[in-house]
Amino acid sequence: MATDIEIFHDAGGTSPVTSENPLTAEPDVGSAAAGQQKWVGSIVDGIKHRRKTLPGTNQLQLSVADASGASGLAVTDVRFALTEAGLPSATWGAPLNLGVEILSGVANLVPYWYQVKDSAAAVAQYADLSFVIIDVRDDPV
Amino acid sequence: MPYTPPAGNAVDFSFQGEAAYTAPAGNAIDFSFAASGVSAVIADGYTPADALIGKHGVAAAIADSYIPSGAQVARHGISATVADSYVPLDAISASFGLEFIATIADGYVPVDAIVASHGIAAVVADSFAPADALVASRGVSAVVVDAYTPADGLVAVHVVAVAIADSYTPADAIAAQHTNLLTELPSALDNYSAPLVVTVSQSGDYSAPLVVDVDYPSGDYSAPLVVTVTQSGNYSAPLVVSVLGTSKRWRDKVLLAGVDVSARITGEVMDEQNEGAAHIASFTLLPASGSINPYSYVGAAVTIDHIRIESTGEIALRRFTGKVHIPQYNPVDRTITFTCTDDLQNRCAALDRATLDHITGGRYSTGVQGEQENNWAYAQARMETVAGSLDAGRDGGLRVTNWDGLPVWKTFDLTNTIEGSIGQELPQRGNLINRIDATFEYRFSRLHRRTCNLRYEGDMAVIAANALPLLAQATVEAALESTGWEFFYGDGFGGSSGAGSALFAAGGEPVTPRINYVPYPEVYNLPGGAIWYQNETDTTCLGFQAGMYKRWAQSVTETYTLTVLAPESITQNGEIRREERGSLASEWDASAWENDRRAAPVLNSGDWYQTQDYAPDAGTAARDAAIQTLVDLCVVKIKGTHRSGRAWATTLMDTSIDVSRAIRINTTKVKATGKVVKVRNVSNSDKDAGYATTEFHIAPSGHGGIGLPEVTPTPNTPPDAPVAAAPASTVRSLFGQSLGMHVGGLASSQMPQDPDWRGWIVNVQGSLNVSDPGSDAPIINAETQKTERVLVNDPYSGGTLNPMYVAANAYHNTGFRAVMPAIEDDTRDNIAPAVTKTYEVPISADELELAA
Repeated sequence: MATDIEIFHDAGGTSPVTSENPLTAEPDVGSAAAGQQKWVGSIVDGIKHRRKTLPGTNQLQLSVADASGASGLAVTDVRFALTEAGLPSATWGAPLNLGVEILSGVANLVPYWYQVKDSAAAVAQYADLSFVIIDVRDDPV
Repeated sequence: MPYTPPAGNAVDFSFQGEAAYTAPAGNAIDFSFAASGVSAVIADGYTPADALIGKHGVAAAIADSYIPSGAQVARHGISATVADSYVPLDAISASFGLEFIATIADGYVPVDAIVASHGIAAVVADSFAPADALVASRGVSAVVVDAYTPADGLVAVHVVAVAIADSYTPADAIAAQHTNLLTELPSALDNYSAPLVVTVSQSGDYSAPLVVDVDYPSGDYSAPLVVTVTQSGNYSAPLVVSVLGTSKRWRDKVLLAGVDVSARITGEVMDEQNEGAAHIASFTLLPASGSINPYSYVGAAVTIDHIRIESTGEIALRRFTGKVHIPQYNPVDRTITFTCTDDLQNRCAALDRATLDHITGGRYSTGVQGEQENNWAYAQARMETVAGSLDAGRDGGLRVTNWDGLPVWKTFDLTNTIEGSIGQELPQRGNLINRIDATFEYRFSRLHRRTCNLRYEGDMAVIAANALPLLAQATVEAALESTGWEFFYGDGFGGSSGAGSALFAAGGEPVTPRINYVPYPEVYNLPGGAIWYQNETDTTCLGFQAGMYKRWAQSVTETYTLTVLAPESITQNGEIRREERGSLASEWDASAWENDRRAAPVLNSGDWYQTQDYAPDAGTAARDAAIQTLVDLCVVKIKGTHRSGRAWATTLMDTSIDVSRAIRINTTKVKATGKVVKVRNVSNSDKDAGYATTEFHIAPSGHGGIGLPEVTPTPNTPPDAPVAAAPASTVRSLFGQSLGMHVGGLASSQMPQDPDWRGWIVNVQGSLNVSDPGSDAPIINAETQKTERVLVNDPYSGGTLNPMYVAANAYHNTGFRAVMPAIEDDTRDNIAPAVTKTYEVPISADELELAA
């Protein structure tokens, strides 16, 4: 079984990230300091999401996975922050702690910001990176 | 440290290892709690009145001349040596000493001497002859010499070894106590010498074994089993990063119901965003030959991408995500035009209000915005109080974008805009609103309760002397009832003293009101020997005390005049005013409460008066929320009208331009910065067209003024509600009343009658009924010379005029009159107290510069 946790395009949890509606970034377009805000959680009823290992103690973490290794973009081309103001000082490639527990429901969606580096990557559309939350355990509240 | 005795006392002693001891004033030597033991050496001249030589292990050496009056030579393990001349009155030579050795000189002759106690070794000299001597107690070794002859001597107590000399002849001597071997001295015995050994009885713990057999438990065991199924795993969200080049090659990609129909597209593909509205799109395709059913596409998913064809490959940039709203078939050219929408309204309508609250923020009050028929209208109502726009992004996510404070996403100038596409439109003054007078009415019931304590006391002397009629209880009750006030019943809330917290009695109505009557005496002696009497004690009263109350409801309509204004705009553009209204009213039935004394709220605070604003269905929290909603609505409306100016430009298709961004247009003729309010992407890949552009409009906010004083926004807090006034002092003075008698028909009667009199107003009777049984006297009969009783006064029964009565002074209006405190008009009638407050709104001044 998978986890019900997911990333949404909005605070209301109405538009989940899917392969047809993925997270996007155009790092060389627009304001260099601009990031994008998304929300993490679930909209099912009565669930608490925790880390499978040491639940309630270990942090749920949002991190970047690289499917292509040496080619494409790198994990360090992305940085996260819980606030827009925190982006400039965030470490590229560092995972983001989301808390030791996320309760389900719209009101409990955790907002976060992400930014993709305006690097010297070749002109192309890259899909080798993904945002992952691993080792998630869903328990009834 | 050396001890410094108080001035005038010649004592020198030193503490062993303790801090310097300072005796309290007035005491020559005073030791307390000298843990390490004090060594005191008292000089020969030391003669304190009440000398405490030492305490707690003090070694005191008292000189020969020491003659205290009330001397405590030593206590608590003191080693004291008393000189021969030591003759205390109440001498406690030592007490509580583990090792007290008191050597009493031969001259020691205390009156009531406790030579030693608690482990003291006392050696009493020959001359020791106390009247009541406690020679020793509690382990004292006392050696009483020959001359020791106490009257009531407690020679030794508690393990005392006493050697009593031959001459010891106590009257009541307890030689020893608490011993196993007790030898009690006889009352009188010569040459008595007996060793005494005192042994303390043994003590210890007793333990007896107890064997308890415990059988092994038996029975059925059951434990609940709870199985929790959890799931776990990893989550992954795809990320697509587009690094764009400079290629100008492009194509449209349209997916309709998941099918790529790009090859059949003809004409323009358009999508348009407007802030706060649905994202719409349209495209036309040439269907394949054969039967078609356009309506089968209604609601079908649609995505439109702008594909940049770079040398390294294609980069898809999303333009639109939504669904088909209307398919329209054109039989002339056999095309189907699809009008699409991101379905913003339906998506919002399908969400619950809690989610919409979370997305939009803002406020909502039915008193201001009314009931909303669906949740899209509800979302719009909330957005009326938010200086921002609700719409959906290209990823479909619902978002609220504030009008102010956005960073500039991109700057466009003549190098990246299509020639001649830059334009602007200044705001029209007629579209501005810089002042709104908002009126908010809040209607509720104000409940009042007042208590009155009445006390009446008749003057028995006047009553009896004038044979006044008796005051009936029924008369009193009728008078009180006629006031329209209510009696207290049972434990009904106490108001007689202004204090108390009893509630109305539970259950049914009680029978009698709570009136404390003071009965007439059955007999009253008048001066001169006459007797007044009556036999109607159960129905009459000499006096009474009664608590009464009245409660009523008053309709109050608080009227709030809230002025929301933008001073900068008013200064620049003159005042342009509008009005708004809101109201909130409680539907609670106050009349039902007035008619039912037991109906809640009871108003039983115990004070003389109590006022409570009551609106269970529309409380003050709802009122405040409604006021704040109305103010926010006015603020947003004012701010919104100051964004009516526009600047626009067209550039090559740029899908990153979005109504959630702010853009700057920077040319020599036009400089403008503002939030994007409209984006229109059009593309046409037909062979005779070939264009893909993005037209954007921004809305700079401003008031038009330059250098105006900065305005600080007034916090949106409701004004203080008007407070109900307390009753006037003239009214409060009547909450406790003492009523008196007003007797008419006497020469001394106060005239004229005052119509404002309260209490018992009564006239003496003009005539009195007399019943004279007559009288007889003993008289000697002249004929018979015998004593006979002869009637000398004939019996009489009938009326007779009251000689005290003065008809001219009789009061015309008699009876018992009670007047309750008046209820002021502004406490009873409907009132509409008014409150005003002004809120100032700053207007953001975005860049908008024009040059010729």
